[in-house]
Amino acid sequence: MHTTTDEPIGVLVAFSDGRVKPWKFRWGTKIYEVKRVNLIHSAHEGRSRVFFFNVSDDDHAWKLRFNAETLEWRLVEAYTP
Amino acid sequence: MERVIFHIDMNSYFASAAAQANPFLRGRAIGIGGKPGSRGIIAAASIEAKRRGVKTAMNAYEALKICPDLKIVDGDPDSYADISRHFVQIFRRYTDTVEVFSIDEAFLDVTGWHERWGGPEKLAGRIKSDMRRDLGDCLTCSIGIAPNKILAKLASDLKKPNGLVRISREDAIVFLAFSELTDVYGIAGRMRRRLRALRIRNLLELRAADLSRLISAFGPVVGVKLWLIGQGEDLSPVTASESAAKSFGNSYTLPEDTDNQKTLYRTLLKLAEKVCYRLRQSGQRAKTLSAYARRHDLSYDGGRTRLAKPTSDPLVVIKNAWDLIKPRIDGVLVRLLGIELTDLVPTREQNSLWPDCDRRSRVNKTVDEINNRYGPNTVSSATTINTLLRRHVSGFKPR
Repeated sequence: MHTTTDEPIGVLVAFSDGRVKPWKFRWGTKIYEVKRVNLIHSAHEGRSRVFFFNVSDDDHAWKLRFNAETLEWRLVEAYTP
Repeated sequence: MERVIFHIDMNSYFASAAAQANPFLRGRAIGIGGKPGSRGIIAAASIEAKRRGVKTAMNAYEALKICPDLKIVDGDPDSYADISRHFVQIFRRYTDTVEVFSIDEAFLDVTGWHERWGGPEKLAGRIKSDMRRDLGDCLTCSIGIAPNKILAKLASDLKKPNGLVRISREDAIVFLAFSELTDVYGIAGRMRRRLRALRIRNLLELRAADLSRLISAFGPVVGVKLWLIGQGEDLSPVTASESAAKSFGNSYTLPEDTDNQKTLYRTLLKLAEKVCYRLRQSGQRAKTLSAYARRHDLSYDGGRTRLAKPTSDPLVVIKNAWDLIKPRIDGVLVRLLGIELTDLVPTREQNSLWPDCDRRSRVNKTVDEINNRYGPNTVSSATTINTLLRRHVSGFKPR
Protein backbone atom coordinates (compact mmCIF):
# COMPACT_ATOMS: atom_id res chain seq x y z
CA MET A 1 0.00 0.00 0.00
CA HIS A 2 1.30 3.39 -0.97
CA THR A 3 0.54 6.37 1.26
CA THR A 4 1.47 9.98 0.75
CA THR A 5 1.74 12.01 3.91
CA ASP A 6 3.54 15.04 5.30
CA GLU A 7 4.38 14.32 8.90
CA PRO A 8 7.28 15.54 11.02
CA ILE A 9 9.70 12.80 12.04
CA GLY A 10 12.84 12.58 14.15
CA VAL A 11 15.84 11.17 12.27
CA LEU A 12 19.23 9.88 13.35
CA VAL A 13 21.73 10.19 10.54
CA ALA A 14 25.24 8.94 9.91
CA PHE A 15 27.80 11.08 8.11
CA SER A 16 30.29 8.92 6.25
CA ASP A 17 32.30 9.07 3.02
CA GLY A 18 31.06 12.60 2.46
CA ARG A 19 27.46 11.43 2.46
CA VAL A 20 24.50 11.67 4.78
CA LYS A 21 22.76 8.40 5.49
CA PRO A 22 19.53 8.27 7.47
CA TRP A 23 20.00 5.54 10.03
CA LYS A 24 16.88 5.42 12.20
CA PHE A 25 13.74 7.50 12.36
CA ARG A 26 10.82 7.92 14.70
CA TRP A 27 7.37 8.16 13.14
CA GLY A 28 4.66 8.53 15.75
CA THR A 29 5.54 6.12 18.52
CA LYS A 30 7.52 3.68 16.37
CA ILE A 31 11.19 3.65 15.55
CA TYR A 32 12.28 2.26 12.18
CA GLU A 33 15.77 1.26 11.21
CA VAL A 34 16.84 2.15 7.70
CA LYS A 35 18.60 -0.74 6.01
CA ARG A 36 19.15 0.75 2.57
CA VAL A 37 19.35 4.22 1.07
CA ASN A 38 18.08 3.62 -2.45
CA LEU A 39 18.04 7.07 -4.02
CA ILE A 40 18.85 10.61 -2.96
CA HIS A 41 17.79 13.66 -4.92
CA SER A 42 17.38 17.33 -4.25
CA ALA A 43 15.00 20.06 -5.39
CA HIS A 44 14.39 23.72 -4.79
CA GLU A 45 11.21 24.82 -3.09
CA GLY A 46 11.32 28.58 -3.28
CA ARG A 47 14.65 29.57 -1.78
CA SER A 48 14.96 26.39 0.26
CA ARG A 49 16.91 23.42 -0.96
CA VAL A 50 15.28 20.18 0.05
CA PHE A 51 16.73 16.69 -0.09
CA PHE A 52 14.68 13.56 -0.59
CA PHE A 53 15.92 10.21 0.68
CA ASN A 54 14.22 7.06 -0.62
CA VAL A 55 15.03 4.46 2.02
CA SER A 56 13.81 1.00 2.97
CA ASP A 57 14.02 -1.90 5.39
CA ASP A 58 12.95 -5.46 4.66
CA ASP A 59 9.23 -4.68 4.89
CA HIS A 60 8.75 -1.03 4.00
CA ALA A 61 9.96 1.74 1.73
CA TRP A 62 9.78 5.40 2.69
CA LYS A 63 10.57 8.78 1.28
CA LEU A 64 12.01 11.26 3.76
CA ARG A 65 12.28 14.97 3.07
CA PHE A 66 14.94 17.16 4.65
CA ASN A 67 14.71 20.94 4.40
CA ALA A 68 18.27 22.28 4.51
CA GLU A 69 17.10 25.73 5.56
CA THR A 70 14.80 24.82 8.45
CA LEU A 71 16.65 21.55 9.25
CA GLU A 72 13.29 19.83 9.45
CA TRP A 73 12.70 16.20 8.52
CA ARG A 74 9.33 15.00 7.28
CA LEU A 75 7.98 11.66 6.07
CA VAL A 76 6.33 12.20 2.70
CA GLU A 77 5.69 8.68 1.39
CA ALA A 78 5.34 5.24 2.91
CA TYR A 79 5.03 1.98 0.99
CA THR A 80 4.24 -1.46 2.32
CA PRO A 81 4.11 -4.27 -0.27
CA MET B 1 41.24 11.41 -36.81
CA GLU B 2 37.91 9.58 -37.04
CA ARG B 3 35.31 10.90 -34.64
CA VAL B 4 34.11 8.69 -31.79
CA ILE B 5 30.58 9.57 -30.72
CA PHE B 6 28.60 8.04 -27.88
CA HIS B 7 24.83 8.12 -27.68
CA ILE B 8 23.74 7.28 -24.15
CA ASP B 9 20.11 6.45 -23.61
CA MET B 10 18.68 5.68 -20.19
CA ASN B 11 16.57 2.52 -20.19
CA SER B 12 12.88 3.02 -19.29
CA TYR B 13 14.08 6.06 -17.40
CA PHE B 14 11.10 7.14 -15.28
CA ALA B 15 10.17 3.55 -14.44
CA SER B 16 13.79 2.70 -13.58
CA ALA B 17 13.96 5.73 -11.27
CA ALA B 18 10.82 4.48 -9.50
CA ALA B 19 12.34 1.02 -9.13
CA GLN B 20 15.59 2.51 -7.83
CA ALA B 21 13.65 4.52 -5.23
CA ASN B 22 11.51 1.62 -4.09
CA PRO B 23 13.07 -1.88 -4.07
CA PHE B 24 9.63 -3.50 -3.77
CA LEU B 25 8.84 -2.35 -7.32
CA ARG B 26 11.90 -3.98 -8.86
CA GLY B 27 11.25 -6.74 -11.36
CA ARG B 28 7.57 -5.80 -11.53
CA ALA B 29 5.52 -4.44 -14.39
CA ILE B 30 5.17 -0.78 -13.50
CA GLY B 31 3.78 2.20 -15.36
CA ILE B 32 4.39 5.83 -14.52
CA GLY B 33 1.52 8.24 -14.81
CA GLY B 34 -2.20 7.76 -15.32
CA LYS B 35 -3.98 6.55 -12.23
CA PRO B 36 -6.37 3.61 -12.58
CA GLY B 37 -9.85 4.95 -13.15
CA SER B 38 -8.45 8.26 -14.38
CA ARG B 39 -7.93 9.21 -18.00
CA GLY B 40 -4.22 9.86 -17.68
CA ILE B 41 -1.71 8.08 -19.85
CA ILE B 42 1.26 5.86 -19.04
CA ALA B 43 4.22 8.21 -19.47
CA ALA B 44 6.76 5.40 -19.12
CA ALA B 45 6.70 1.66 -18.60
CA SER B 46 9.22 -0.64 -16.98
CA ILE B 47 11.00 -3.26 -19.07
CA GLU B 48 8.74 -5.93 -17.55
CA ALA B 49 5.63 -3.92 -18.46
CA LYS B 50 6.91 -3.36 -22.01
CA ARG B 51 7.45 -7.10 -22.38
CA ARG B 52 3.76 -7.55 -21.52
CA GLY B 53 2.69 -5.12 -24.23
CA VAL B 54 2.34 -1.88 -22.26
CA LYS B 55 3.47 1.05 -24.37
CA THR B 56 4.32 4.66 -23.64
CA ALA B 57 1.33 7.01 -24.06
CA MET B 58 -1.18 4.15 -23.67
CA ASN B 59 -4.05 5.16 -21.41
CA ALA B 60 -4.23 3.56 -17.99
CA TYR B 61 -7.45 1.65 -18.74
CA GLU B 62 -5.99 0.07 -21.86
CA ALA B 63 -2.68 -0.72 -20.10
CA LEU B 64 -4.45 -2.45 -17.21
CA LYS B 65 -6.53 -4.47 -19.64
CA ILE B 66 -3.37 -5.81 -21.28
CA CYS B 67 -1.46 -6.19 -18.03
CA PRO B 68 -3.88 -6.50 -15.08
CA ASP B 69 -1.13 -6.63 -12.44
CA LEU B 70 0.50 -3.47 -13.75
CA LYS B 71 1.48 -1.31 -10.79
CA ILE B 72 0.80 2.33 -11.62
CA VAL B 73 3.06 4.78 -9.85
CA ASP B 74 2.96 8.58 -9.65
CA GLY B 75 5.62 10.43 -11.58
CA ASP B 76 8.31 12.35 -9.72
CA PRO B 77 9.57 15.07 -12.09
CA ASP B 78 11.92 16.60 -9.49
CA SER B 79 13.81 13.35 -9.09
CA TYR B 80 14.07 12.81 -12.87
CA ALA B 81 15.54 16.29 -13.33
CA ASP B 82 18.02 15.80 -10.46
CA ILE B 83 19.12 12.33 -11.61
CA SER B 84 19.59 13.73 -15.13
CA ARG B 85 21.85 16.47 -13.78
CA HIS B 86 23.78 13.80 -11.94
CA PHE B 87 24.41 11.53 -14.93
CA VAL B 88 25.36 14.48 -17.13
CA GLN B 89 27.97 15.34 -14.46
CA ILE B 90 29.29 11.78 -14.80
CA PHE B 91 29.54 12.18 -18.59
CA ARG B 92 31.45 15.45 -18.15
CA ARG B 93 34.14 13.61 -16.19
CA TYR B 94 35.19 12.01 -19.48
CA THR B 95 34.73 14.67 -22.16
CA ASP B 96 34.01 18.38 -22.38
CA THR B 97 31.60 17.86 -25.29
CA VAL B 98 28.29 16.61 -23.92
CA GLU B 99 25.08 17.44 -25.76
CA VAL B 100 22.04 16.90 -23.58
CA PHE B 101 19.52 15.69 -26.13
CA SER B 102 16.59 15.13 -23.77
CA ILE B 103 15.99 14.36 -20.10
CA ASP B 104 17.19 10.78 -20.59
CA GLU B 105 19.67 10.85 -23.47
CA ALA B 106 22.84 12.60 -24.48
CA PHE B 107 25.51 12.60 -27.15
CA LEU B 108 29.17 12.65 -26.14
CA ASP B 109 32.08 13.39 -28.46
CA VAL B 110 34.90 11.36 -26.93
CA THR B 111 37.29 11.64 -29.88
CA GLY B 112 40.79 11.48 -28.39
CA TRP B 113 39.48 11.31 -24.81
CA HIS B 114 38.78 7.56 -24.99
CA GLU B 115 42.46 6.72 -25.52
CA ARG B 116 43.21 7.57 -21.91
CA TRP B 117 40.78 4.88 -20.79
CA GLY B 118 41.89 2.14 -23.19
CA GLY B 119 39.46 2.72 -26.05
CA PRO B 120 35.79 3.55 -26.60
CA GLU B 121 34.36 0.30 -25.21
CA LYS B 122 36.42 0.53 -22.02
CA LEU B 123 35.37 4.14 -21.55
CA ALA B 124 31.72 3.17 -22.06
CA GLY B 125 32.13 0.44 -19.46
CA ARG B 126 33.63 2.95 -17.05
CA ILE B 127 30.70 5.33 -17.52
CA LYS B 128 28.27 2.49 -16.87
CA SER B 129 30.15 1.52 -13.74
CA ASP B 130 30.19 5.14 -12.47
CA MET B 131 26.45 5.34 -13.04
CA ARG B 132 25.86 2.08 -11.19
CA ARG B 133 27.98 3.24 -8.25
CA ASP B 134 26.57 6.78 -8.03
CA LEU B 135 22.94 6.25 -9.02
CA GLY B 136 22.16 2.61 -8.29
CA ASP B 137 21.73 -0.72 -10.06
CA CYS B 138 18.33 0.01 -11.58
CA LEU B 139 19.28 3.11 -13.54
CA THR B 140 20.91 1.42 -16.51
CA CYS B 141 21.69 2.86 -19.91
CA SER B 142 22.37 1.68 -23.44
CA ILE B 143 25.43 3.14 -25.12
CA GLY B 144 25.87 3.33 -28.88
CA ILE B 145 29.36 4.05 -30.26
CA ALA B 146 29.88 5.19 -33.84
CA PRO B 147 31.71 7.74 -35.99
CA ASN B 148 28.65 10.01 -36.08
CA LYS B 149 25.47 10.89 -34.18
CA ILE B 150 23.01 9.07 -36.44
CA LEU B 151 24.85 5.77 -36.29
CA ALA B 152 25.50 6.19 -32.54
CA LYS B 153 21.78 6.60 -31.92
CA LEU B 154 21.00 3.58 -34.10
CA ALA B 155 23.58 1.59 -32.15
CA SER B 156 22.14 2.49 -28.74
CA ASP B 157 18.70 1.37 -29.91
CA LEU B 158 20.00 -2.03 -30.96
CA LYS B 159 20.41 -3.50 -27.50
CA LYS B 160 18.18 -2.65 -24.57
CA PRO B 161 18.42 -2.72 -21.65
CA ASN B 162 21.99 -2.10 -20.58
CA GLY B 163 23.43 -2.45 -24.08
CA LEU B 164 26.81 -1.50 -25.51
CA VAL B 165 27.01 -1.61 -29.31
CA ARG B 166 29.67 -0.20 -31.61
CA ILE B 167 29.07 0.46 -35.29
CA SER B 168 32.07 1.13 -37.49
CA ARG B 169 31.82 3.07 -40.73
CA GLU B 170 32.34 -0.17 -42.68
CA ASP B 171 29.49 -1.92 -40.85
CA ALA B 172 27.06 0.94 -41.39
CA ILE B 173 25.51 -0.62 -44.51
CA VAL B 174 24.59 -3.77 -42.59
CA PHE B 175 22.88 -1.80 -39.82
CA LEU B 176 21.08 0.42 -42.31
CA ALA B 177 19.80 -2.66 -44.13
CA PHE B 178 18.12 -3.91 -40.98
CA SER B 179 16.72 -0.55 -39.83
CA GLU B 180 13.51 1.27 -40.69
CA LEU B 181 13.55 4.79 -42.08
CA THR B 182 12.09 6.13 -38.84
CA ASP B 183 14.74 4.37 -36.75
CA VAL B 184 17.05 7.13 -37.91
CA TYR B 185 16.87 10.28 -35.89
CA GLY B 186 15.83 13.10 -38.17
CA ILE B 187 13.28 11.01 -40.08
CA ALA B 188 9.82 11.01 -38.55
CA GLY B 189 6.37 10.12 -39.86
CA ARG B 190 5.94 13.11 -42.19
CA MET B 191 9.37 12.75 -43.75
CA ARG B 192 8.76 9.02 -44.20
CA ARG B 193 5.53 9.77 -46.09
CA ARG B 194 7.36 12.22 -48.34
CA LEU B 195 10.12 9.68 -48.99
CA ARG B 196 7.56 6.98 -49.75
CA ALA B 197 6.00 9.30 -52.30
CA LEU B 198 9.41 9.16 -54.02
CA ARG B 199 9.30 5.35 -53.74
CA ILE B 200 12.00 5.35 -51.09
CA ARG B 201 10.69 2.86 -48.54
CA ASN B 202 13.80 1.88 -46.60
CA LEU B 203 17.33 2.99 -45.87
CA LEU B 204 18.85 0.89 -48.64
CA GLU B 205 16.61 2.63 -51.18
CA LEU B 206 17.64 5.95 -49.62
CA ARG B 207 21.27 4.92 -50.02
CA ALA B 208 20.69 4.20 -53.68
CA ALA B 209 18.72 7.42 -54.27
CA ASP B 210 20.19 10.01 -56.56
CA LEU B 211 21.42 13.14 -54.79
CA SER B 212 19.94 15.49 -57.40
CA ARG B 213 16.53 13.80 -57.03
CA LEU B 214 16.61 14.32 -53.25
CA ILE B 215 17.69 17.94 -53.65
CA SER B 216 14.90 18.68 -56.11
CA ALA B 217 12.34 17.10 -53.75
CA PHE B 218 13.59 18.44 -50.42
CA GLY B 219 15.83 21.38 -51.23
CA PRO B 220 19.62 21.59 -50.91
CA VAL B 221 19.90 21.39 -47.10
CA VAL B 222 17.48 18.55 -46.32
CA GLY B 223 18.24 16.79 -49.61
CA VAL B 224 21.95 16.57 -48.88
CA LYS B 225 21.30 15.58 -45.25
CA LEU B 226 19.04 12.71 -46.38
CA TRP B 227 21.57 11.57 -48.96
CA LEU B 228 24.28 11.54 -46.30
CA ILE B 229 22.01 9.53 -43.99
CA GLY B 230 21.69 6.97 -46.78
CA GLN B 231 25.49 6.75 -46.94
CA GLY B 232 25.66 6.32 -43.13
CA GLU B 233 27.21 9.77 -42.79
CA ASP B 234 26.24 12.64 -40.51
CA LEU B 235 28.43 15.70 -40.29
CA SER B 236 26.51 17.38 -37.46
CA PRO B 237 28.74 18.14 -34.48
CA VAL B 238 28.06 17.25 -30.86
CA THR B 239 27.34 20.67 -29.39
CA ALA B 240 28.43 21.12 -25.81
CA SER B 241 25.25 22.69 -24.54
CA GLU B 242 21.64 21.89 -24.00
CA SER B 243 19.76 22.65 -27.16
CA ALA B 244 17.59 25.68 -26.60
CA ALA B 245 13.85 25.01 -26.52
CA LYS B 246 12.06 26.05 -29.69
CA SER B 247 8.65 26.07 -28.07
CA PHE B 248 6.95 25.88 -24.69
CA GLY B 249 3.71 24.03 -24.21
CA ASN B 250 1.48 22.58 -21.55
CA SER B 251 -1.63 20.47 -21.79
CA TYR B 252 -3.97 19.03 -19.20
CA THR B 253 -6.44 16.14 -19.25
CA LEU B 254 -9.45 17.20 -17.17
CA PRO B 255 -10.56 14.81 -14.43
CA GLU B 256 -13.85 14.42 -16.34
CA ASP B 257 -15.22 15.65 -19.65
CA THR B 258 -16.93 19.01 -19.25
CA ASP B 259 -18.61 21.72 -21.29
CA ASN B 260 -18.63 24.16 -18.35
CA GLN B 261 -17.20 27.32 -19.87
CA LYS B 262 -16.03 28.71 -16.53
CA THR B 263 -14.05 25.54 -15.71
CA LEU B 264 -12.57 25.41 -19.19
CA TYR B 265 -11.59 29.09 -19.10
CA ARG B 266 -9.93 28.75 -15.68
CA THR B 267 -8.08 25.61 -16.74
CA LEU B 268 -6.82 27.34 -19.88
CA LEU B 269 -5.75 30.37 -17.82
CA LYS B 270 -3.85 28.12 -15.41
CA LEU B 271 -2.09 26.55 -18.39
CA ALA B 272 -1.31 30.02 -19.75
CA GLU B 273 0.19 31.02 -16.39
CA LYS B 274 2.29 27.86 -16.29
CA VAL B 275 3.61 28.11 -19.82
CA CYS B 276 4.27 31.88 -19.55
CA TYR B 277 6.18 31.36 -16.30
CA ARG B 278 8.44 28.82 -18.02
CA LEU B 279 8.89 31.17 -20.96
CA ARG B 280 9.86 34.08 -18.69
CA GLN B 281 12.32 31.88 -16.79
CA SER B 282 14.01 31.12 -20.11
CA GLY B 283 14.28 34.86 -20.79
CA GLN B 284 12.11 34.70 -23.89
CA ARG B 285 8.83 35.88 -25.38
CA ALA B 286 6.70 34.20 -28.01
CA LYS B 287 5.32 35.54 -31.26
CA THR B 288 2.95 32.68 -32.09
CA LEU B 289 0.32 30.95 -30.00
CA SER B 290 -1.47 27.65 -30.58
CA ALA B 291 -4.41 26.50 -28.47
CA TYR B 292 -6.08 23.14 -28.84
CA ALA B 293 -8.72 20.94 -27.30
CA ARG B 294 -9.42 17.24 -27.38
CA ARG B 295 -13.11 16.49 -27.38
CA HIS B 296 -14.88 13.66 -25.56
CA ASP B 297 -14.83 11.62 -28.80
CA LEU B 298 -11.00 12.00 -28.84
CA SER B 299 -11.05 14.30 -31.89
CA TYR B 300 -8.69 17.26 -31.79
CA ASP B 301 -9.41 20.84 -32.77
CA GLY B 302 -7.36 23.95 -32.34
CA GLY B 303 -5.95 27.01 -33.96
CA ARG B 304 -2.88 29.16 -34.23
CA THR B 305 -2.48 32.90 -34.21
CA ARG B 306 0.31 35.41 -34.63
CA LEU B 307 0.40 37.65 -31.56
CA ALA B 308 0.36 41.44 -32.04
CA LYS B 309 3.76 41.58 -30.37
CA PRO B 310 6.02 39.06 -28.62
CA THR B 311 4.75 38.31 -25.14
CA SER B 312 5.18 36.20 -22.02
CA ASP B 313 2.14 37.68 -20.29
CA PRO B 314 -0.54 35.12 -19.38
CA LEU B 315 -3.32 37.72 -19.78
CA VAL B 316 -2.41 38.30 -23.42
CA VAL B 317 -2.02 34.57 -23.98
CA ILE B 318 -5.35 33.63 -22.37
CA LYS B 319 -7.24 36.30 -24.32
CA ASN B 320 -5.91 35.03 -27.63
CA ALA B 321 -6.14 31.37 -26.63
CA TRP B 322 -9.74 31.72 -25.48
CA ASP B 323 -10.68 33.55 -28.70
CA LEU B 324 -9.20 30.65 -30.64
CA ILE B 325 -10.64 27.82 -28.59
CA LYS B 326 -14.09 29.08 -27.49
CA PRO B 327 -15.89 28.71 -30.84
CA ARG B 328 -14.44 25.22 -31.22
CA ILE B 329 -15.65 23.87 -27.89
CA ASP B 330 -18.97 25.64 -27.50
CA GLY B 331 -21.47 23.06 -26.23
CA VAL B 332 -18.95 20.25 -26.66
CA LEU B 333 -17.67 18.00 -23.90
CA VAL B 334 -13.94 18.62 -23.60
CA ARG B 335 -11.38 16.10 -22.40
CA LEU B 336 -8.08 17.96 -22.73
CA LEU B 337 -6.87 21.51 -23.23
CA GLY B 338 -3.45 22.68 -24.32
CA ILE B 339 -1.42 25.76 -25.16
CA GLU B 340 1.82 26.04 -27.10
CA LEU B 341 3.98 29.12 -27.63
CA THR B 342 6.43 29.20 -30.55
CA ASP B 343 8.55 31.65 -32.56
CA LEU B 344 10.55 32.63 -29.51
CA VAL B 345 12.61 35.80 -29.22
CA PRO B 346 14.80 36.98 -26.34
CA THR B 347 13.17 39.31 -23.82
CA ARG B 348 14.22 42.94 -24.23
CA GLU B 349 15.30 44.62 -21.02
CA GLN B 350 14.87 48.05 -22.56
CA ASN B 351 12.05 50.10 -21.03
CA SER B 352 9.14 51.08 -23.22
CA LEU B 353 8.47 54.74 -24.05
CA TRP B 354 4.91 54.10 -22.81
CA PRO B 355 5.15 53.14 -19.13
CA ASP B 356 1.74 51.42 -19.17
CA CYS B 357 3.18 48.80 -21.51
CA ASP B 358 5.69 47.83 -18.85
CA ARG B 359 3.19 47.57 -16.02
CA ARG B 360 2.19 43.96 -16.71
CA SER B 361 5.80 43.01 -17.26
CA ARG B 362 6.73 44.49 -13.87
CA VAL B 363 3.83 42.66 -12.18
CA ASN B 364 4.88 39.34 -13.74
CA LYS B 365 8.49 39.90 -12.74
CA THR B 366 7.53 40.63 -9.14
CA VAL B 367 5.20 37.62 -8.96
CA ASP B 368 7.99 35.41 -10.34
CA GLU B 369 10.44 36.72 -7.75
CA ILE B 370 8.00 35.97 -4.92
CA ASN B 371 7.15 32.50 -6.24
CA ASN B 372 10.80 31.66 -6.86
CA ARG B 373 11.62 32.66 -3.32
CA TYR B 374 8.69 31.23 -1.38
CA GLY B 375 7.54 28.40 -3.66
CA PRO B 376 5.19 27.98 -6.60
CA ASN B 377 1.69 29.49 -6.33
CA THR B 378 2.56 31.70 -3.36
CA VAL B 379 1.00 34.41 -5.54
CA SER B 380 -1.39 33.50 -8.33
CA SER B 381 -4.22 35.21 -10.16
CA ALA B 382 -7.55 35.46 -8.28
CA THR B 383 -9.37 33.71 -11.14
CA THR B 384 -7.34 30.53 -10.81
CA ILE B 385 -6.86 30.51 -7.06
CA ASN B 386 -9.34 27.64 -6.65
CA THR B 387 -8.31 25.86 -9.82
CA LEU B 388 -6.17 22.95 -8.85
CA LEU B 389 -4.68 20.94 -11.66
CA ARG B 390 -3.95 17.48 -10.40
CA ARG B 391 -0.39 16.44 -10.55
CA HIS B 392 0.70 14.64 -13.70
CA VAL B 393 4.15 13.36 -14.51
CA SER B 394 5.06 16.66 -16.07
CA GLY B 395 2.21 18.74 -14.69
CA PHE B 396 1.47 20.85 -11.65
CA LYS B 397 2.34 20.14 -8.09
CA PRO B 398 -0.51 20.19 -5.62
CA ARG B 399 -0.55 23.18 -3.34
